[in-house]
Amino acid sequence: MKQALALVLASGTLGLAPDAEAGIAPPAAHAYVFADAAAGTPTRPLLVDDGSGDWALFWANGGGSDDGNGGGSDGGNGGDSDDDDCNLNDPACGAGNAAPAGTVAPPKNGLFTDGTAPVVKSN
Amino acid sequence: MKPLFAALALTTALIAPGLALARPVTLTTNLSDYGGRGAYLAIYVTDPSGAYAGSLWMAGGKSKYYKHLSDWARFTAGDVAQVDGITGASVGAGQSLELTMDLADALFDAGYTLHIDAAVEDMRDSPNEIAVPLTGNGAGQPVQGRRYIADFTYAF
Repeated sequence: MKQALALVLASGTLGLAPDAEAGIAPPAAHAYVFADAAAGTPTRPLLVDDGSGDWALFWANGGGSDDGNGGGSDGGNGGDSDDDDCNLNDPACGAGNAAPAGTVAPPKNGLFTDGTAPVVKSN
Repeated sequence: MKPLFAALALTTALIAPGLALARPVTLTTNLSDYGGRGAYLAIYVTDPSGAYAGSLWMAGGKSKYYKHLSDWARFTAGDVAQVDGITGASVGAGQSLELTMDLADALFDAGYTLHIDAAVEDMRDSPNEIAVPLTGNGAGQPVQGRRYIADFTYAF
């Protein structure tokens, strides 16, 4: 009986936690609206009232950190992360993505010489 | 003699325009220290009427994030084929991206505009962060960005 009561209490605590968080939001908290509430969507754009009267579109990663500060979670050094780019050796990563430079000819869009791939340098 | 001269004139007329069709152009994008993860950048061109003319480069490999490059996504309906073969890694804060490519001469001093959309995870999207007319006089002149791009320059 005690175990059952403990379970009920635990689940009640967990279930109410988000409400409790909402209750302690600071007065300056902004309104958040999920623009795409589809379950399982890996990324969700968020409409956020930033207080300026404009609604801004944010890139929110559904699997990202929950620290609530909206910043990056990897030290903020701005380096490329594995989450952002595809590993060319990972077949699963390439599905549905554009072909990386050097693997196929550039599109024949008339902007640059057909078949001549741009040369890229990043540092 | 006359047939030889005519043949020479004809081949010259055919080859010369081809040589003048493209010129090597270097696009340099310096990112600011915005303190976030790698930025996705879509570099594309619109024609004199403001219609999408084509893409030059996509920095960032995962197409599921391209919707955050919202102007580019609107122009292309998110068609990844537009950036097949011209896609590379995202660019970190404080880093620079330097691209060298042969661009059609017809793009310069003809009303075409180069645009850059930028997006960073967990940060505000920045469509059309750079919009710079492609002109001979504009070459080598840095253009400041609004949010993630410190400056952008194209040079011959």
